[in-house]
Amino acid sequence: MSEETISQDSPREKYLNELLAELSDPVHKRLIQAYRGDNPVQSMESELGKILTEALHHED
Amino acid sequence: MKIKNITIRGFRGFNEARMIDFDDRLTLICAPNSYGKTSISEALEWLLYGVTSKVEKADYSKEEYKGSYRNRHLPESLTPFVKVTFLEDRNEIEFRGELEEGEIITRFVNGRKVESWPLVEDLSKVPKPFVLQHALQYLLLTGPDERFREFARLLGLEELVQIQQNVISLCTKTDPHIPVEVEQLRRNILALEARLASQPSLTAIEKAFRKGKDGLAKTYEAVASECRRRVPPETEEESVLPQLLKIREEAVAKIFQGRITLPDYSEREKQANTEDEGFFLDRMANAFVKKYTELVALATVQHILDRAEFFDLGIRLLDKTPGKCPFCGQSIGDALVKHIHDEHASLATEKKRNEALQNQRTEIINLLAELKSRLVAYQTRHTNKTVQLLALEPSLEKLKTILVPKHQLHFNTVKTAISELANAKNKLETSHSKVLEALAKVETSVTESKENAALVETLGRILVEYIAQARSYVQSISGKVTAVSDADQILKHELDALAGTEDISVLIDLRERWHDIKKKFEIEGILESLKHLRKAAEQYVANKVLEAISGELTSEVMEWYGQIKTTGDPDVHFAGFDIERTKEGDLKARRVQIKAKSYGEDLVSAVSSLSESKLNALGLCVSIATNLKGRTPFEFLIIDDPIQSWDAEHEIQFIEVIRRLVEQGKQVILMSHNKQWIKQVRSGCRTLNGWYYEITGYTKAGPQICEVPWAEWAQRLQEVDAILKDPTASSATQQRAEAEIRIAIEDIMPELWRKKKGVQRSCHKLNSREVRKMLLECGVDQPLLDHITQTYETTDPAHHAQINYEPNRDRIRSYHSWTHELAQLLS
Repeated sequence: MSEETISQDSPREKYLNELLAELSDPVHKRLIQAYRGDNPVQSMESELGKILTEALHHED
Repeated sequence: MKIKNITIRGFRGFNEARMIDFDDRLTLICAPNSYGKTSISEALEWLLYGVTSKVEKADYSKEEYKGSYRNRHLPESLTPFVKVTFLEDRNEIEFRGELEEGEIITRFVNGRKVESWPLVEDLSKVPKPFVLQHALQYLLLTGPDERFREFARLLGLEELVQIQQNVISLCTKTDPHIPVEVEQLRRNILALEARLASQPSLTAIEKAFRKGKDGLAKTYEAVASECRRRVPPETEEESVLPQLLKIREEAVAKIFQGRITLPDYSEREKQANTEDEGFFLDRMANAFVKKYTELVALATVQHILDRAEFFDLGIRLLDKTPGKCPFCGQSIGDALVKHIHDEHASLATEKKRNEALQNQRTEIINLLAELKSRLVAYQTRHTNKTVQLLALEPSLEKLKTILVPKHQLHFNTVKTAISELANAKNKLETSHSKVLEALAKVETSVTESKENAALVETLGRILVEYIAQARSYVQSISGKVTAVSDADQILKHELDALAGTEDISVLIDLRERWHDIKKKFEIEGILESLKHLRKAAEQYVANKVLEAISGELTSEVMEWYGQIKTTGDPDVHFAGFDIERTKEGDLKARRVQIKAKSYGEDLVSAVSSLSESKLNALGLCVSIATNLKGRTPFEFLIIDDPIQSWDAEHEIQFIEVIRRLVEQGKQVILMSHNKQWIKQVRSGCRTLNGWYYEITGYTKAGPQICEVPWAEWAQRLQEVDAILKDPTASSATQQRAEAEIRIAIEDIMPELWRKKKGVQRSCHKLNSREVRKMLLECGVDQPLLDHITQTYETTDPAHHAQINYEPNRDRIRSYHSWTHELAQLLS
């Protein structure tokens, strides 16, 4: 899987790729790329947690 | 996939098993209300989907819907079932659904139990092949949001809607998913902001602070300038903060010394805990126990090693004094020397094998050292957390004088936290000591070569108890972090108020926590930006749905709607689908709009403007259009009571819709309570010559279903007569006359059979051989028998399909005359 896209095997993936193409914020892209599995909300929430923790520990 | 027949037993209005055959083009079922007509469509819907729309749309938890599938009169010993024979590429497939306890469906395909139907991956993603009154109302008379979901379902866009819902869920319910340490930082900075706002002397800073990320540079400048004002002018820049701290500490120390501190576990600490616990439980439980058990075996052979060494020494000495015992000097014979050599060789092999095991002892010692070191680090990580808070215990009385009565709750929180955490820490330390004790015993057993399996079992058990204790300790701390931190903020505030250092304290915090302040704004920026993600997802989904509903679907629905429209109708009509928009022109999320026009002018909404009959027509058209659109395994369409609230003219129009559906390859099963209209359908679709059933009565056993001829044979022969008399009748019209003759024969045959034999017989889809046989059995004389057989055979549509076939007026006249002759036998 590339950084920008998600594989194109199902309608879900087709929609997610189209949505990704409309986003410019890297944080938003990361969240949509995390949309996977049987519980995509949980997967995105977990990614959001990671993003926030990274922001907390990120050094200027 | 078309339906050949359905058999229903014990389901809804059906008690005893009844089978209904369906024509592959058009079947009509007419019954007064409550005679079980809708039970047929519900049975098929339940078989396919495991639930009926009526129950699905209701709140299924309602008691009144429980047990509503099973017919009340079916004997307890019998299982209700619905069985359907489908036709796919001329192959028959039997689906059977049995209704089990708890409204569960058990599925069988051709008699074999299956988990799901072998149709499509997900039946919910293709339109249901049902046009049902309550479903139509649900689609149109519901709110725009519910309508949006229903349209998405009909158009197979559910995945898209699911994505939208999930993204909205992420963007709107963030709080529970913010990591504890991030949340803690946000809370602390918010509290600092509140304190800043309460200091009149710091207004300039507060003003800049409120501008958020954009005002950061100005805030920093204002803080620096204000700090400098509070210290002697000659103070070096790097000494400003220490100077401020000194001023505050000196003032506050006169009142109270200490902080209420209970830091939560950072993500890194949590990770370290998980890794340590994994090491204790997995690695120690597997690798360590295995190695240790092998050492136990090694200990049992120690005496062998001792003997080997003894023999080794003996052999070396024997080499120097052959034939004499090296220890006592007595002579020894060859047999004994050989025995000593053999024994030595055997023990040497045994010794070599055990040398490998000896290496394990070293590994075990190393492993135990690592375990001990990690246990100590693990324990220190835990106990360090509460050191500062527990150190406050002797100062509780003093703390009380500062916090109580104004902050009694916070004081109680601190007091309880100290007591509970001291207790938890004691338990953890006791448990930790036991682990170290057990570990020491294992260590000793290894170093002294006195391995004992019981020792390692005890260590494992105590280790597990210790980890459970530690986890409980972690939970206990995490549950108190927020409340303790709040109490600390209160204490600080109170101390500053008492010492008159509130503004200095705020300035110190602003300087000290500048890094955190920047982080907080960064984090807020991320959380705030989720609104944009939500909007982007909503706009994307709304655009996709708009694309699906405003283009093809609108024109297809319009086309069907145009079929039902009559010339006398007032010009108030459906004008297409759209998505509602905001004032700024953005698409509103999940708001499907049904547009209407009146004499060229746009109306607010079709739902509020169209009459019930037009809404009904629109609902039918939406359902039909979506059923014809896209992929679906179903070639049939069940239409249940479509003409409610329509006038006669619209009813007639809808017959043409049915004809078109059949022409487009749909197998239509139409149900209605309106006998008069059904008669018109049969007349309007006479050439289709489908199957027609009337439900003539209803008893406890279920509906009484009778097959009725599609049209009167006399009426058909009159039609043929009219065609023959029309000199302009085209070849196609004459072919229709031939078809009418053939159907008239099929209608006359059952009547003749009943008259001669006294029993009913269905004469659908006969062939000429069967016709000849029936005529023979009914005693028809030979010339007429031959004529009718010939007529039946040559009016076969397959016969018409021959190349260059042309109907012949004279031949039709003969067929017509012979059929009349056959009909005379009925009188």
